[in-house]
Amino acid sequence: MDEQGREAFRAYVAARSPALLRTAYLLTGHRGDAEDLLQTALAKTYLAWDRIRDREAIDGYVRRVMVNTQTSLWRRKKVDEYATDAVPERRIDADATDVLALHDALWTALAGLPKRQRAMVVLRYYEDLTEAETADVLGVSVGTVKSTTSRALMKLRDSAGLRDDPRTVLPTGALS
Amino acid sequence: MTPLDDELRALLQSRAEQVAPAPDPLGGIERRAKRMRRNRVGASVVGGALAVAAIAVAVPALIPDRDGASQVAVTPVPSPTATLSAGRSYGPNELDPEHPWAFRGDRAVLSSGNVTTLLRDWELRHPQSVINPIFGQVYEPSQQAEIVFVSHAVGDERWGVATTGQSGIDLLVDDPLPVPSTALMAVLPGDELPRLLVVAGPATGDLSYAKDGASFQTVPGPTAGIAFIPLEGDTTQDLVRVLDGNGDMNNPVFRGPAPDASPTHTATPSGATPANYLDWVGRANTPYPMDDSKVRFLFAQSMGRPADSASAVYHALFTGKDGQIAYTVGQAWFRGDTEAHTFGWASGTDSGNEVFLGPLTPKGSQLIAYVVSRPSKGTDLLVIVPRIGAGPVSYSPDRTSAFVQKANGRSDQNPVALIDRDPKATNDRVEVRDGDGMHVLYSGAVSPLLCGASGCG
Repeated sequence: MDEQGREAFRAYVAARSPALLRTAYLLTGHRGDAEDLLQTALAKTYLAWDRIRDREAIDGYVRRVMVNTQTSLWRRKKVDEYATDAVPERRIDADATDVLALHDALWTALAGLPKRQRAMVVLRYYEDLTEAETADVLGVSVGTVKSTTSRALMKLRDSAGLRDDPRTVLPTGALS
Repeated sequence: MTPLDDELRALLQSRAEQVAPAPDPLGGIERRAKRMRRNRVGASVVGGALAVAAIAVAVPALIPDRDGASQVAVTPVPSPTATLSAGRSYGPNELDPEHPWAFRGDRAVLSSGNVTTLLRDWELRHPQSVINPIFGQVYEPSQQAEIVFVSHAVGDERWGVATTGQSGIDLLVDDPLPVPSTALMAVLPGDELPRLLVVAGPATGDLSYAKDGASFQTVPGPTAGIAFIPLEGDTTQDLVRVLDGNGDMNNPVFRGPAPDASPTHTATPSGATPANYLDWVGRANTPYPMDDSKVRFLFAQSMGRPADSASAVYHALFTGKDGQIAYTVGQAWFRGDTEAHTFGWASGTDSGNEVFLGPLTPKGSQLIAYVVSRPSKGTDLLVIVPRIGAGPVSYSPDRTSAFVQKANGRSDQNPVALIDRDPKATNDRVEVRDGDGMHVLYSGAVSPLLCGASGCG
């Protein structure tokens, strides 16, 4: 990469890395993993920079690399499960609302989704991509996006903390 | 829009907003990119002239990106240097270790908890590697899962075969990837006869075997590009041939000798775990793992080989916190060693850091023991880590007192016994029973469990 390209890349990273880091965080659920994932994706982008003609598409490229890297089967992972005799205390907040409790439960349930389902939820509900755009990022059909997202939402709803919450009981056909 | 939609959007938005930007992300990106480039160049050099020639004639106007970002328009790279940096070219039926063939076979074998064990064991042999399964099945006679996978790490591209059993994971194959990787072959044990495993690309066609090196016969496999060939009699002349999807006999994807049917074909000795390796999942009562690299260095130092810390391996079995003291105990050895030591390290003790070089762990051990000194408290901390699946762990402070249960290995709440021990104790005893509490797995003095090169506790 020549100096001009390097400058353009640096400008891109400076402008976009905060937003991309947020997406990486939602994909991984851990700040450290998110930084690692984004760094990997941007390093690959760095190597491909001179070959990318459409600079408008760079966000999509980085997003796609992040999702594919994160969802690749058996990606090396840190052991983050512990058998422990110390049960973490639940947050006790005098002003805790139902919404906060629901969000905590949703966040926990989200962490339990398979990586691909989680990626679809993030792309659809955070990045606000259409089903077609999500399909394009993940390299799958629109039908797969629909069915997988539907399964993901059903899992979220059926997760222990959400099963009985009236706000997450969907009307019939809402997921079809 | 549904209520769940709304809540999801709100949740993701609020959580994302809490993420502060990373300081100076650029330096790390450029360093990592350089490492990736070095790795790719290395792979290209290994590929030799064949790979370079293939790139020279085969780079299309639009190169499908290896990360799957095929929507990005790219142009051919004209200079040889730039070509190398863009990565090695792989033929249509050749395995790219970074993006290997899609998984074939029985996906259910991947759902087993043994996958976690495989990942951990592989990480010990080949740190920093990424592994991708490419085939799985349940071997009918033994009803054991068999998983074929590819491992990718900087300068270390490998493939392996793992089988699951009651004792965990056995690695049947741990070999470097051949170049080019058009057919992966290994001899696996079988019910009556050894089996030659052949794994070729999913788009390949006829897969044949000629025991005499001439009379090829098609071998039906469980799925395209996969075959298990029973090996019987004289196989010194045998050949394997794989054709492409069009059956082009003139340009076979692979044609070559099968590996020897040696029954001892197993993981490479240098990467093997010691004979007394305990394949227990690591446990902890703290979410803060100790720094493995520091533990490895301390082990090398305590063995009088500080320069060899890079080849030291540490397998943590328990990591804990006791007030200000953070400690870890497990097994440590040097690559290629046949036996591992029980090894521990504590920080934050009254005397600062404390290294524990224990004995060579007895093979098939039911427990390991570790002690941390706590002079200011008046008692030491004795840590008894029983094997996975063990039941009650009991302790007696001397030769005559009755055992008192300190932990139950079957309970998620208290699987490891943490015992206040008299620093002067010499005759204390420990007993570990099986999961039902009926049978004694170990009953005896604590001291032999602690006796090592650094003395007896």
